[in-house]
Formats: sequence, C-alpha cells, structure tokens
Amino acid sequence: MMWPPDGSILGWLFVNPIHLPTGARLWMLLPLVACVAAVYRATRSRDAREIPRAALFTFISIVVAMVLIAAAFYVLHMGVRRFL
Amino acid sequence: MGKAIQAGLLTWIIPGAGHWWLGHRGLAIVFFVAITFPYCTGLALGGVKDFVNPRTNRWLFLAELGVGGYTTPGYFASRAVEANLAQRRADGEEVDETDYVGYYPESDIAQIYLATAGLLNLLAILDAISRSQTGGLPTFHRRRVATPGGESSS
Repeated sequence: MMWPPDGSILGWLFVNPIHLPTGARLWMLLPLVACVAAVYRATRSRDAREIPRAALFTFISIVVAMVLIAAAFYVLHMGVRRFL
Repeated sequence: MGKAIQAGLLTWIIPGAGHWWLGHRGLAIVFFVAITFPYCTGLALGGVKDFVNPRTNRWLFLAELGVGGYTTPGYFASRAVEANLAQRRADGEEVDETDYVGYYPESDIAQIYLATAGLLNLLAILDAISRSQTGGLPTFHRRRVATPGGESSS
C-alpha cells in the first residue's frame, strides 16, 4: 500500500483501487447518466447556457426509461418463474 | 481542414480542449468535467494496473483510447506498476494483488465508467470537428444557406 514512494495522492488513488459500500453500487448509475446527459446535450447546444435544463430533462428521461426496463424484466422474470 | 484536425486532436488529448480553442469556453468546461469525472472514477475503482492495460482487456483499452491524453500516461503508469510488483516479487517480497486490482463489483462499475468516458470523448471529438467547420453550430443546427451563385449548400 506504500507505492508510489513519492506519496502523490493522485498516483496512490489510481494505483490502489477504492472499495464501494454495498449500498452505493446501484447509485453509481446516477452520476454516469448525468455525464452522458450533459455530453449529449452539449453536442446539440449552440451555447452552454442551454445545457442545464436540457440535460436535466435528458437525465430524468434516461433514469425513468431504465427503471421501466428494469420493472419490465422483473415482471418477465416473475412470469417465467410462475408459469414455467 | 487543418482547423478541424487541430480541434479533434486537442479534444482527443484533453476533453473540451478543442472547444476551448474554438472559443466555446462554456461547452469546453462541460465536456471536460463530464468526461474527466467518469474516467477518474473508473480508474479509482479499478486501479491503473489492469484497467488501462491492453493485455488484460483489449476492448476496454480500445474504448479508453477515445481519451488518448489520459489513456497514454495511464498505460505507462500500468507498465510501471507491473514492473514495480515484478521487482518486489523478485526481491522475495510477498505482494498482495488485491491492493492493486479492483474486483467485482467495483471492476464492473470501473469498466462501464472508463468505456463510457472514452466513447463520450469520441462524441466530443466529432462535435469539435463539426463546430470547426460550421462556425460553431452543432451538427443538427446546420441550415441550408443561400450562396451568392443562387445555389444552396448546407
């Protein structure tokens, strides 16, 4: 755990992986979706001021869509378990 | 054409740098933050040793190459860590690999974050190239503009 010897925080952070608490894993979806929404909206904006509102709408759309997809798979899973 | 290549290359090296160079400072900051954050998060969760390494995961490395300015030093850092561990083993020291490699489920999250960052930067590169050719307009805003000869072009 002592490498790199120069003790740089950046180097230490990227050399020794950090561990997430069990409950935090699912929530890691949200920052990634926020980044995807921001980049997507940035490519479609003339000016940076247009981005926050549009990115928020895209962020909510993606999260809702993923929740619906997860719910659909859950229902399918329960159906398969019940009828097969 | 030279401007487009320069903008694309700058964005490949540092996300948002091409946009900054073109004068879109606000967009540059958004691209920089939204691409650097997932890349650094993925690297912090997975560790540089196996997650910027074409020998352990070549497809992930290919996706990461979308952010060449981060992946190139990361690759050399990965090589340096491997060499350091090999040297320590050769010296008879007992090395615990789990200190240097992220395992499930962090490894999955790290891969998704790193690959997404690389692919998002490809989008940013294409956007920088597009804006350099259209005077700053995003691709979908292109309109047909009347030219002096009476013809129209996009």
